[in-house]
Amino acid sequence: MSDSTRAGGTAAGDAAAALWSTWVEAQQQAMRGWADMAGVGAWTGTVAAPASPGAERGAVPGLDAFIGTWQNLSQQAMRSFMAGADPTARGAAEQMRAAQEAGFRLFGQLAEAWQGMARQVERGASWSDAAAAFSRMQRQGMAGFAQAPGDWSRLGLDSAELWRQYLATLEPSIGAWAGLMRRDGAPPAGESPRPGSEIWELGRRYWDAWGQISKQLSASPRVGFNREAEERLIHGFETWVASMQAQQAYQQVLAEAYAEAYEAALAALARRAEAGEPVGSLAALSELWIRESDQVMERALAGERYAKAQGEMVAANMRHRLSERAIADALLADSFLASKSELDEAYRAIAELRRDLRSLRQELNTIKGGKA
Amino acid sequence: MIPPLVDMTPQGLADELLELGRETLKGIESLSRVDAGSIQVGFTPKTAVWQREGVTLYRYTPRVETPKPVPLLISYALVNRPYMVDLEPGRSMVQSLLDLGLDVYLIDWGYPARIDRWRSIDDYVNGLLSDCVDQVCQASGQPAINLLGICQGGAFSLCYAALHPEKVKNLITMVTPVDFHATDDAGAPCGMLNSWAMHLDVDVMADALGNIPGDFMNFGFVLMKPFQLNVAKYAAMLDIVDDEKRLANFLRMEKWIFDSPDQAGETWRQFLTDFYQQNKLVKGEVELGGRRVDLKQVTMPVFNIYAELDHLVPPQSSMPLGEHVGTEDYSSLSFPTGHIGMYVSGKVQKVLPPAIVEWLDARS
Repeated sequence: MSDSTRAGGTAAGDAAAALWSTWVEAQQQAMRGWADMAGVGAWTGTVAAPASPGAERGAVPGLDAFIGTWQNLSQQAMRSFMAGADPTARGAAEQMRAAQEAGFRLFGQLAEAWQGMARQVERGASWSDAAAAFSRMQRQGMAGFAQAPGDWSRLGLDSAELWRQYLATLEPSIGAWAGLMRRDGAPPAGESPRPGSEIWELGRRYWDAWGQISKQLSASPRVGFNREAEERLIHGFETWVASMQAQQAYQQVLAEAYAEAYEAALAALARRAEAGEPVGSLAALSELWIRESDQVMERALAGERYAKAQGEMVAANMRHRLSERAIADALLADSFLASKSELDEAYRAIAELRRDLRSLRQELNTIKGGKA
Repeated sequence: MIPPLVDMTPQGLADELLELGRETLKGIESLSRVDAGSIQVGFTPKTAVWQREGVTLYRYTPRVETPKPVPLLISYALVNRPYMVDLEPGRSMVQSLLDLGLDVYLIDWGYPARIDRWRSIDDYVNGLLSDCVDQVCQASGQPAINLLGICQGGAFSLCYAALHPEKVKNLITMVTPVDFHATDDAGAPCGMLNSWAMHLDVDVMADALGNIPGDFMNFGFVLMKPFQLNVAKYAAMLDIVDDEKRLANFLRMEKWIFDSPDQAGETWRQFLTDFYQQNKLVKGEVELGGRRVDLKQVTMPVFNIYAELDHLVPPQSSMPLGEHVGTEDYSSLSFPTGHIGMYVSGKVQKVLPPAIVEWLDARS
């Protein structure tokens, strides 16, 4: 490393040392309180339950607060230290930070699951039965949502809203034009629904319903000056709905694979508990979880069902892109601008010219070689 | 008595949580001190001797006074950058080959741009690869050279050798997919990529995207071991952040993994359709430039090197090469490692370059 980097590093190192010593001190206080509260006996016996009424709820009391503080501090460290860093190093640092946070959260989740299983064991079930029951419960929850006779009409099937959402997706391609067509406001932003959740299933039914309606729309005759543009737009809408459906189906398959992986990790932990060999550290817990989970994921992702869902999702998404391009192409043509399709044709012509040139060059070399 | 999830005292657990958190912060600080120079890749001196359409042919500076007369041309895959064969001192196949007296050339396929969207496998094999071979022949005064094809570059080298056998003195294939429909002992298809490819509508993808983004490929590679490659790998960085050398090694590899060129759309369409989906290479049905690629025309000596634990190119896909080529001089060598381990494993790198040179010497 260069001297200047070293010098900068030393300054950064001092800042880092100050940052984490302050943090460690604060956390040690909190942790000491937590350890006292839980008590060794209570801790090893339940791995979860708060020691006294009114104590913080959660499988590991204090863990959420710990993660929250650590998350803030590590993000602050990222901003402070990595601002001008090498991009590869910065990317690796962010991944390392995220991996650690995932590890902390995993511990909390597993502890919670363990707590549920422990209650069953206390009632006389074996550890493996408890793990299986826990997994069954999870899966039933997921399947229950998928099979519920949900009343999607409650959503109101607001056609104007759905249309606004579709037009919003066109914005990157056709910009201001889409903005003009949107009557009012932007579609509601928000996080993607979690696979298996009620809103997820309602969403799926919503798209199904709109798939049917869009078919009716596209089948109805259109007349007038804008007929072709309208047909392109309707086709775009259809492909968009299909893309959303395929995306949802793919996420469902992926979520089930994750659930199965989680189940396998719990089962492995249960086996160790039954054998009286619980893991001895968070690192070992994390290692076991990753090993067991990846085995299941590898099997699931190599399977026909996943490959098919992935293929359908990608294809639906590509078909939507093509429909977007058709809309954009028409608009660009109206504005006397070259479209991507036209550029593609130009590139194709260049490729053919390159081939001709190559052929001529090789013939020339053969002739030269013959003369030599 | 309910056994605990983790067999630790609360205080021990608190200590470990604190230590992990502290180490991560320290790791971020260590990473902030890494400068670009310390994670340089492709360090062995080389000279660009030819360029066309974004493709560059390099000649590495020989490291012996009189290199062996027949040069070795390395043709890497299109999906990653070729500096993997020269990643860092001590883990450089190129440097070892140079030390053993070879005259080494490397094709850098570059980063296909939008204008390359219609570049086909024919353009790569009968055009750019062929041009590179001609350049090396001309520079060395040899009528035929040694060709080393790696991964997808190996499949292209097989096509080239079948179509232009007179230009290839010896052919070496390394972690090269040959039978794309290979099955395991239980009759199940081998390889996640092979399985995924069967369900991709490659035509609509190429039509919609033009060139296939490198990130799309990377997403697939990382998904193959999601927890290992997204979580465990980075959590394990805590063990090396204090070790400048190991950290630099890690980052060089990281740089290589995510330095993924886009794939020329037409080539990708053909490779997925003809090779992955229809397995035309072993059926003798691949057509390039109006000519059929018949592996029986691969009559020069062939050395097939593969990894026994390869999850990208399963060994079952590489191993059958001997059954399909026309040569009577076929050898193979395998290592108990994965796809990437072939380039970076210290053990492999001790054995592999001498094995290649010894095999070539016996056929010089």
